Amino acid sequence: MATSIGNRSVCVIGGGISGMTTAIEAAEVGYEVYLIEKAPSLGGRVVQMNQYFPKLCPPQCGVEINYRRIRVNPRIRHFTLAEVEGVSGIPGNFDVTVRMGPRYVNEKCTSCNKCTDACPVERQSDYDYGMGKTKAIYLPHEMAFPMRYVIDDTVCLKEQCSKCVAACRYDAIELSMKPKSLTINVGSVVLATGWSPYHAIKIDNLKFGIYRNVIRNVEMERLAAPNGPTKGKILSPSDKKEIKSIAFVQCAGSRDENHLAYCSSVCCLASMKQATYVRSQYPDADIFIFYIDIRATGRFEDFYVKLQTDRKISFIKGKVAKIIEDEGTKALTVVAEDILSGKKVYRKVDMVVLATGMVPNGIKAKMPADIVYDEFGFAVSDLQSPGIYVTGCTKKPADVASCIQDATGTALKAIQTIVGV
Amino acid sequence: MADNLVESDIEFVRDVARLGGGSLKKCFQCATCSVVCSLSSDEKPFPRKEMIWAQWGLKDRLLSDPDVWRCYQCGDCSVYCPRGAKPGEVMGAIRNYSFKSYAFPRFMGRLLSSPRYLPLLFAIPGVLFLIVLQHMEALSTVPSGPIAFTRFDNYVDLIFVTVSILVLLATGTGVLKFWKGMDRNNVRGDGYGRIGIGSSVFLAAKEVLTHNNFKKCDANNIRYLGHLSIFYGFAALFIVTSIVFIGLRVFHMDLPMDQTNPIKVLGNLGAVTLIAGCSIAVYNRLGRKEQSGESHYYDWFFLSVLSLIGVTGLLTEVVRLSGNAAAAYWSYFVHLVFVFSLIAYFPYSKFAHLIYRFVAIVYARYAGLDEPAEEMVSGKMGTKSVA
Repeated sequence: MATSIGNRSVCVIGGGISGMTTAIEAAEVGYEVYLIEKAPSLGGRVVQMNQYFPKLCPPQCGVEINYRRIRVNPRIRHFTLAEVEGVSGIPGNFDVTVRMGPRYVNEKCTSCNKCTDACPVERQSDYDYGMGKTKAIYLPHEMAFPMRYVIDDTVCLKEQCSKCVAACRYDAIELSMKPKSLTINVGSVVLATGWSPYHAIKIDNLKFGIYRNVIRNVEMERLAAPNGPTKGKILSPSDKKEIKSIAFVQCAGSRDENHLAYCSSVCCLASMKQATYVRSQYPDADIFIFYIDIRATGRFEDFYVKLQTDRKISFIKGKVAKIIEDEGTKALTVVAEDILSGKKVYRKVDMVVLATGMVPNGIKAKMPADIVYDEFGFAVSDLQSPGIYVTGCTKKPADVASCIQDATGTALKAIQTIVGV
Repeated sequence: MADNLVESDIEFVRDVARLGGGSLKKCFQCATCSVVCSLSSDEKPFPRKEMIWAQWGLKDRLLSDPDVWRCYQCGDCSVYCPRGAKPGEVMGAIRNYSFKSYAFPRFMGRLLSSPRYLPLLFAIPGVLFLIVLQHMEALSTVPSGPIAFTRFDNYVDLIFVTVSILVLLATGTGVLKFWKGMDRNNVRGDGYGRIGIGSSVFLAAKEVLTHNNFKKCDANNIRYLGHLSIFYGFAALFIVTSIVFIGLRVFHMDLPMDQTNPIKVLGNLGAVTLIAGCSIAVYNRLGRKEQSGESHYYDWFFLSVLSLIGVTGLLTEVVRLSGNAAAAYWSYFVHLVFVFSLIAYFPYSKFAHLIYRFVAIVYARYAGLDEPAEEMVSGKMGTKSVA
């Protein structure tokens, strides 16, 4: 018979798709959950995507349902702009110290946007990977949860300006807001700290950050997204013109000892998915996908086969190792050896998308037991640290569907610690 | 159909691994190497294809592949290789294998392939010259009178002329095997035979003399500098030696020459340049391993012999000028041992890269294997690039 050995609540660190799923699944079977997210909104990387794979539906539907499940469930308490500073204790009785950054906007905010209209300061939008701008006071994104504005205090002029305070009719802005600390006592902890796109500037021969028309797959999601910097129109970054051709460079820094030695498993399908974005906007565009091996496992192969029937999508076996920019037009020539013909190919394109891989975020906070990481920074087996579990891309690179499955299983693990099986 | 059967030579794979290509099995055929290489051609890029041939043990293909010799091993491919497969080193290993494989007689190839036989290699000239000294009754007593190396000339010339003839025959045999292999395996480009053999030789000589392709390995231009110095230092010494040989035999010129004699000046300059070049090469191999890669015995044997020739040659001259007869003669003795080692082992040591590389370039020109597009190398946009 299961007996309680202590606190019956769970702390989930990370409010992306994995963290939200674990939190919801645990809460919906009756356990208290604290969901800690360092960004101003829940949702993680998923809300930056244009479409989910493989059904090609926008993330709004899935994420919106999860937001709603959190909103209506009194057992979930979520904290945004919050970072875990340390965890201590034993399974069944962990103390989690959380530092909550100031949002400068309180719960009275109605998202009327008057503050943003008044704000004179701009900042690069991290939501758009720096391709767009927001004001210093902004809504994280259009379906942010909580639906509340936030001030970026690294750029805000604060009391010297105060234009937003004057513009706000609801007394929602508090420029004097200070960070807060709190300690929560829980029975088990789940790490769902997710991933970041690889810092592609390090791949010096692919010229990301130097040639403007070289972007990464994550930027492509934003370019194609209706709420993105180009309102969903895929345009070449250098001149904002329509494109006639595009090249996808697979394994950009992946399966590469000099960068990420592992395969991130999702990039082949992500690029093929993005090829469909291009095709839907440009029926005649030439699309080149340069690959070492196409990794489309199981049912995903159907997607690959379907794309192969498109006569203007070329799959070229050979890694792009050189990109040359035309100084005048900013068009790019990608160079690879086509292994099947044994000859070099030069393809002149308007845009290049680097299929960069996923880098695990990990956690900096002090944990009661050392989290064991593999050589790449992914957290391995939770057996080393009972009561503390890892899920989603903290553990391995994975697509959304796999993360959700994994996160659901992790909810059960977290509950098992609490009820003491 | 039989042509398409893959005949795998496992022993060859092991040999290449032993000769410095131990990383070859790590390659997963992404072809990064072929693209980052500044010398790789558009029609038949390398070294990706060489990597898979080596993995599959296609010895015949590799032994008749001119591209193996068009690589100057700048190390770019190894630096960018995502797998640590070090294509540059594998190419070097295949070249080492070729020295052994083209060797005639075969046992000589084996003698040069492992440090095990090193004492024997130096013992051969050592004993030979000792016999000469014994015969001249100069072994226990230092010859009197002014120091003159010419007193040994009859014997020294006899030995070196004989050795040179043998070496020429051996080299010719190897080169013939190589050329026939390339032609048999139909390594041809679109422009096969468009450039005549004479023009091909001229173009190849131009490439060798100017080092212009070597220079394209710009990631590693210290190697270029080292090689250029060694090449021209050695060339100067070779020319001086030839002049002196002819001068002595035909014109009965007086030796030793005055230090202001232009020939002497050229010789001294050559020696200094050679030593400087060797020093750069040694530094590059020891101090810049990430780019230059692991060095093999083949590299060290050749580089050491070259360096020692330069050093002992200069030493001999200095000692001679100082007037210490015994020291001068023994120094000369040691110098000759190294000169012998360089010349007699030419076809079997890395020194033979001179001829095989030259022949490979001639063949590449003759067979119409193209150059990498110039504009691509320089990084500017080319017109031919558009799909």
